Amino acid sequence: MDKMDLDGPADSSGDTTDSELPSHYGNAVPDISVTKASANAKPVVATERTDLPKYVLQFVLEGHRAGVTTVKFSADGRWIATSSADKTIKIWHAENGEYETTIEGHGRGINDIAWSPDSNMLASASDDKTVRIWNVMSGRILRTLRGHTNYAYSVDFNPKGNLIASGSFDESIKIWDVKRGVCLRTLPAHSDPVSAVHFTRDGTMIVSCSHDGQIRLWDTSTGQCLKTLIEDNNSPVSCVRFSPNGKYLLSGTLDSAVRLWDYLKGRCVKTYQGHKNEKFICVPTFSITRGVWVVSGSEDGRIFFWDVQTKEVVQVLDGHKDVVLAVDAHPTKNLLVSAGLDGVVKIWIER
Amino acid sequence: MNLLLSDPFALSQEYPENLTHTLNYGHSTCIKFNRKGDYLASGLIDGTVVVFDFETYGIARVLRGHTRSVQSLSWSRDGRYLLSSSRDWKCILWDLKDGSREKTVRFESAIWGAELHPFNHQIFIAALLDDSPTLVDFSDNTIRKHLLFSAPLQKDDEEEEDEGEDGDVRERKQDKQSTLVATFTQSGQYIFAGTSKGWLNVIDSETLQTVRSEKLTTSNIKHICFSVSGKQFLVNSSDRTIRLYNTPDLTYVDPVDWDIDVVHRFQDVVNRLQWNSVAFSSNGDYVLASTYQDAHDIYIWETTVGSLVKIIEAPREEIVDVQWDPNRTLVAATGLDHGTIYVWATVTPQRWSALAPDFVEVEENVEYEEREDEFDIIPDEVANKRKLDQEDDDEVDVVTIERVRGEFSEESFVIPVILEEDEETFDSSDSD
Repeated sequence: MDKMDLDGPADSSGDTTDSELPSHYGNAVPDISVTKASANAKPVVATERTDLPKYVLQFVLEGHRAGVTTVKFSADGRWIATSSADKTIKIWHAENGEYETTIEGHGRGINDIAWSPDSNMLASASDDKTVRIWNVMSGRILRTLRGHTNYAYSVDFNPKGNLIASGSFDESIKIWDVKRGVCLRTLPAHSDPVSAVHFTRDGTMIVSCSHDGQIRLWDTSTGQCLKTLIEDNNSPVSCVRFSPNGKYLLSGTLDSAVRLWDYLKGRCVKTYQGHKNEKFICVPTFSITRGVWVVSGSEDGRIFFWDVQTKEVVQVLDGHKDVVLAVDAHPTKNLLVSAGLDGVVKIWIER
Repeated sequence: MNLLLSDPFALSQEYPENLTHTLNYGHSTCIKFNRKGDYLASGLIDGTVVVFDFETYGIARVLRGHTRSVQSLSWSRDGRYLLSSSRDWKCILWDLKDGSREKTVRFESAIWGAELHPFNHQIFIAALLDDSPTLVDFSDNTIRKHLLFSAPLQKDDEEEEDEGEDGDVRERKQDKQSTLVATFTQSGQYIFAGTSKGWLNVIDSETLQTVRSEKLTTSNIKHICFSVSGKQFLVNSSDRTIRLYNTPDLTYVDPVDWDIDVVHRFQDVVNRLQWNSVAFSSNGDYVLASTYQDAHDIYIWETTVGSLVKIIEAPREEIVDVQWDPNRTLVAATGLDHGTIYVWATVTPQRWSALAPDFVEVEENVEYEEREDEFDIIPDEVANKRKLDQEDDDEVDVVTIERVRGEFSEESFVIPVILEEDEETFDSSDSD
């Protein structure tokens, strides 16, 4: 199962002049229907509450020529980075959606990107089997990490910024030394493509998930497996990440469910449903700046918000014409950015 | 190491047994861990100071400035500053954020060693070869040197004022001693200084007066080091004995009333070896010492009873400087001939029960009794509904951060990774 159904347009020479690409449309009219009613599966409707999220569309960012696979806010909250099947990464201002620069160099479409903790570097994992580290401001490549034998699918920096973990279609996870650009360890992680990797807040553990339905926790220093979590129906897990305090795991599975796991007890404590997710990787995330929500994109072009405790759908945003693959929440402000197969990036704000 | 999910048996291993890494970058003469134990500073024979990142076993910073061999290293509390002293008669305080020199202090004679104040990185104490020990204070951008005394305090009420004062013959003999090693106590309130005649001088760091002196041995005191908790300290002297003391109550008890009595004496009665260097273990339960000359060994004693528990052998060379990581069971040591850094750590095997949620490792065969409803066929919808109902309606807290017991919780400086520099490659190999 591929993250992208369609590959980028055949770029023969690969040269793009920035003047050709439209930069952005600012201040788009929010003609989006913001519905509160939930979709088919969940019968409970959020009513009578005054603290519900009220996100509206603020900016529409266009420029990518193929579907956008990942969108991430930088750790300092100033930038948005988007990666796409058109082999480029674009950097935008988080405040006003203004386009900043394009980073190019990968030979094939890019699956995942991650910011370094000091917001100066970006790591990107691509279908060309490499993971590259870029200097964001200059766009120059700093390191090329070679070693995976199949598509590199997911990448994450550790909180100290000296290690990178990457998961790949070759079913392994590699831990790289950022400074020297060498692979320190290869973890024989799963028996199917590894779809996501994520470090804990203190960098001591890595969580990984795979199309074989397993979620595994690894010790960073020894590379040993610490725990395995599995859902009974074995449906492929498309994405997993730690909660902001590192005590829970949020996983998205291809049976249209997002689950919250308590990994110490080893079981699922909450299930969030209502969206559609059966083929693509729709990344779920937490939004904790005002109210604690779980946000995920859906294959019908909508974005769902759930209340973490009650599991109710509290807001549904409409606006994308195709599968919403990635969402990310700003670390300090009430901003949300979403992107998907239609190649358009949208910034939503709650005032 | 993740503390929550690790095997408790692995965590309880007391001392390292396996040589896991060898680091080769130049010829290392002295090493020091920072407080958190994730960086190791190494001083080379050509004056370069190298900081290793112990998560990747790679180099985090290379600091050039000294022209002669590095004598000693001392970290600031937050791990951002590093003080190095060298045979070129200079002490340099490095800022590890970018590797620049924060301050350079020149002395009039060779330096035995320099230690930073535990809480203030702008104060340090230096033990000098031909001069009195000096407290250097460079807050407010001026370098102020305060000379301290090597002469011990007399037990009767007379106080020694100066080294060269006239007095009776006994006093003059005691005057002719120099301080070889000086270090701050845990809180920085006092300085413990050891002299060439075996005296321990305790100097108040505010008033700079010697408040207590005790004759511990008749020969040179080579090292004084405190345990991580500060409750005990070790004295290594040239009479081939390592003495372990309990630190007296420094805050509430007057210096005059302190009890400085030996708890244990560690020595090698068989070979009568000198000890090159000593260290405490991270929890203070063990004492490490490296041997002089032909025996390429590190001895480990246990502090409660005082017995020898292990001898670690180094591969090829005599071990000079030995350090125990303050937070993990990991020992690093430098070799004399090649200046290689050897790292010993514990190796835990993979727990196979971690690979599937219902795997359990058992000692012997167990008869499995299945549940009544184990093989019932339940339609999917009913099973899903049952699972969803079982989910707690409890509060789930995804935001508050809880500290794990046993984790190092102080803020420790992270050396930023700068990738633009060109660096010489160096050799770090994993050994088994």
